[in-house]
Amino acid sequence: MPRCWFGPRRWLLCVTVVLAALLGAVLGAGLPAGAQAQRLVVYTYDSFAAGPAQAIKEGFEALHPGVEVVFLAPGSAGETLARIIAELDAGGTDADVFVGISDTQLPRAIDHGVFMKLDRSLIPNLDKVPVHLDFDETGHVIPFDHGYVTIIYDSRVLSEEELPQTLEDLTDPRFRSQLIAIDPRTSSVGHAFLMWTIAEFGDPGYLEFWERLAPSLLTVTGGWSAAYSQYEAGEAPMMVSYSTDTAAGVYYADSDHSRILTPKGQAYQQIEAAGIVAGTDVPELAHRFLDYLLSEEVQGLIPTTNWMFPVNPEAPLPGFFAKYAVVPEEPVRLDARLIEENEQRWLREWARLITGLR
Amino acid sequence: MHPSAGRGMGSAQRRRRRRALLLLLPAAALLTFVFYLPVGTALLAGFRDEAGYSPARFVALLTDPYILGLLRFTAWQAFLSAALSVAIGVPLGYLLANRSFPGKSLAASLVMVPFVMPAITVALGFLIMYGVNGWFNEVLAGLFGFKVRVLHTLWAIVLAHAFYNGPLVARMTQGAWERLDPALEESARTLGAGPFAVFRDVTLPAVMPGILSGAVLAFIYCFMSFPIVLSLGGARYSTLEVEIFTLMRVLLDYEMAAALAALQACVSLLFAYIFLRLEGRAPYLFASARARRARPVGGRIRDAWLWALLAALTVFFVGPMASIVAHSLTDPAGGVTAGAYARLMTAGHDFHLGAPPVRSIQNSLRFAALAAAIALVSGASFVYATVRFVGRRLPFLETLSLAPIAVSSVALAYGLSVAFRGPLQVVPQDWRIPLVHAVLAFPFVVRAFRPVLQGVDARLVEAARLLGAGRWRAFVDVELPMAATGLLVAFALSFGLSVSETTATLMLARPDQVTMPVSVYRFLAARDFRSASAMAVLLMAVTGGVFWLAEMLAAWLRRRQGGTAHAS
Repeated sequence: MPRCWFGPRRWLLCVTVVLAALLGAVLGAGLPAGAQAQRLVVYTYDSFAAGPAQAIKEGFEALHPGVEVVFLAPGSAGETLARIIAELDAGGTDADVFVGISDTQLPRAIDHGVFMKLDRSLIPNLDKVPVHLDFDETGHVIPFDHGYVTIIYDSRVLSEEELPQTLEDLTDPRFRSQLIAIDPRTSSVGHAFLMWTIAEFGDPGYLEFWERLAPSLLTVTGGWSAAYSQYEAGEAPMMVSYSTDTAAGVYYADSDHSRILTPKGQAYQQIEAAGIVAGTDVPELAHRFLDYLLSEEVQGLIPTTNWMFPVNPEAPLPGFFAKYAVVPEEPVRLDARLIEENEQRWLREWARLITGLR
Repeated sequence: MHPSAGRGMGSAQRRRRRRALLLLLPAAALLTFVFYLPVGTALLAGFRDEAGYSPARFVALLTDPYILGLLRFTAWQAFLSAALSVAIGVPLGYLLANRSFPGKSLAASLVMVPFVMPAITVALGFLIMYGVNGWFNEVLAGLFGFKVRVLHTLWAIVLAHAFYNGPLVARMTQGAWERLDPALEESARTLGAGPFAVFRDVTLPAVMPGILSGAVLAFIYCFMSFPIVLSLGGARYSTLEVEIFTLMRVLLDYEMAAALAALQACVSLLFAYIFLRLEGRAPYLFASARARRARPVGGRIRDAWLWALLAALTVFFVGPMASIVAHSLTDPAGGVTAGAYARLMTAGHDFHLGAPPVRSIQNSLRFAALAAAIALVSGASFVYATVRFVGRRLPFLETLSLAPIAVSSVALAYGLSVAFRGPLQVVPQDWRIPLVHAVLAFPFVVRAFRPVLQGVDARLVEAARLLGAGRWRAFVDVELPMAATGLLVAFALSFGLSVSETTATLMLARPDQVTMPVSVYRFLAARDFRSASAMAVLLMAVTGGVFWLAEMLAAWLRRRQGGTAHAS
């Protein structure tokens, strides 16, 4: 074998050069250092980051020259809260504002000292929010949107006459394997549905209900996306979801085949809130950001980017949204403190029942 | 004996020990600071109460029939999944190592792609394929008039786990098989052994370390599984990891979560230890420098079953991936469109701070390249020190080296996020995620490289040294080329692991550090299912491309080494 100038180690040289080039590219491609702007770091959940966040960032920065808004979304609202608390426990978080905490998570967040008390006089738009939505009596957070968890169904499969009229009707043998539910341990939608059954059937009555419901459950998925894909693929004609789904179906796919059930005129209400993280060094700016969240400009974005209802009644609703999104006659909510006290036991009892391990 | 001779031996011994320690240093530093200290601290919280340390929580968990039931089911599904991964991976490894067939080089590059797919994408691929209205069932109904219920059963979970881990077992098996000297099998045949006896007594023992290495990784991986389990099986099939997630992320009961994570790690490491003892018993056959001749899968009757096997494997692996590609190219009304891909390029459609979503490719590649480099250097030198300088098997130390993938990913992410705000604050942000990914990839590098290096006869190295080569020269000219396949698999695994990891990434990332799988989840959260699939296709294409480049490099190395063998 002829030996050329690099000898037998030529290949090694090649590998080294390639590796060095790669490493150089990797390290060299570092990110531009942040400008000398005043930064407002907003932690939120993933669909908010993928939804209205960009428009909010641009709008707020336009109103406040020299301010940079940075959104960070580590996952669902629960996971985002867990990250803030972990960071606070370890000595401090970058978060100035947390947008998207649900009403049911609030007591736990307050117990962990996540939020500072708000100066409500710095949030004038709050006056427009109806009293029944401004749920936080402790003054730590403001509501910014609300929605309703219920059952949706495929109107191409189920006709009006066959529909369940109550939650109890879902346990009927004719609905065997017809419902896709979502795990309350890993999803806020699933959590809301479990709370609804507790509000409806009481404790421990809810467990007996779930036992009767079990045959009707095709599956209980970990998250909303997996459940929705399965529902759309025709695995089952009903799923636990939001009352804005028909509107979303019309908006994205020009199809209204998904319809909303409101058994006995009810659905479980979720109120999403925002607050200022304790220890922030820009409290005044953060207050202005919360006020901006309640402005008509931002509230008008909520329906079609976050698929929730705005809390500011002056915000205009798109026509199709007003037509298809359902507000139940009788929203159901469970007291947040009651949830906090019992949640561990409820989730454990539910899991024991569903897995059959008792 | 002359006194100076004794001293010489002593100093050689000392030099060996110094070298071994030096080689162990990168692995020790990496694992200690980025895994054992931070994660150990987090897990210790499970054993602490006001009075000091106590095993109370641990005991409470061990006497809870619900937890024991979860543990039993978790181990059972992981066992089934590992078994199916072996059943699928070994034939695949056989085909890749011994046979040539149309599209083989493409298959070799793409075979590891399932490993990097986000769980939610695999779940969607399985839904489109195996759902009641999935095309697999439509074909069944058309051909035989019946459908099978795959989703929402234990089998959906096991199949999806095999989809992930079958390729892993295949690559490990292939690595061992390619180094097996065909002369051994030939002489056994000449001595009158039947084909089955040759397989049982010669081939199987030789490839066993590879198979077991793959199986142990598959088992641990499936033991920790959770999004796949919930998406495809449902909450009826909850694993321990779901419980840990609930405690850590929903109930914020870090102490109980830590105790449960410790229990989970103990159990999976116990299984790993048993596997490694088994692997240690398998005799080592040394590899040959002679390349194995890949026989084509031909047109003879006895090759018919190989064609059938190839077809089945193709359907099993390509089916879900092709389903995702098809999904990304349709619109909700059923028409064909590339609109989803256009949205990936658009800065307006955005949650990446003003950059288009394709920007996440750059982030993913940067993290993965760094992570793979760190994992390869520390893992390979760890293996080298234990194989060449220690010699005998150290199942306990090797079990400890597997720990990073045996600890619950939520617990690991929590421990690290706390550490990076405390003692590890000095680590620059750009290095944090690559370091964590390197820690997670370390066990894969060790498992992939070890059986291969073990197969390189140390006497070859000694011969080279007798001929005047230095230790380094002997390593570069003799061992490295022979072990290149192992390093290649190690690279592919660590690169793939980094690209697909999300739990720790989400817990540690800065706002601008959005990676490809995170981008997939963002699109799903925004109800843009098509763009999520398009992003997943891009993820598969980019990593497939990287694997293809690595494969080309390895093929070139093999050719080069073949040339050397002829020259010598």
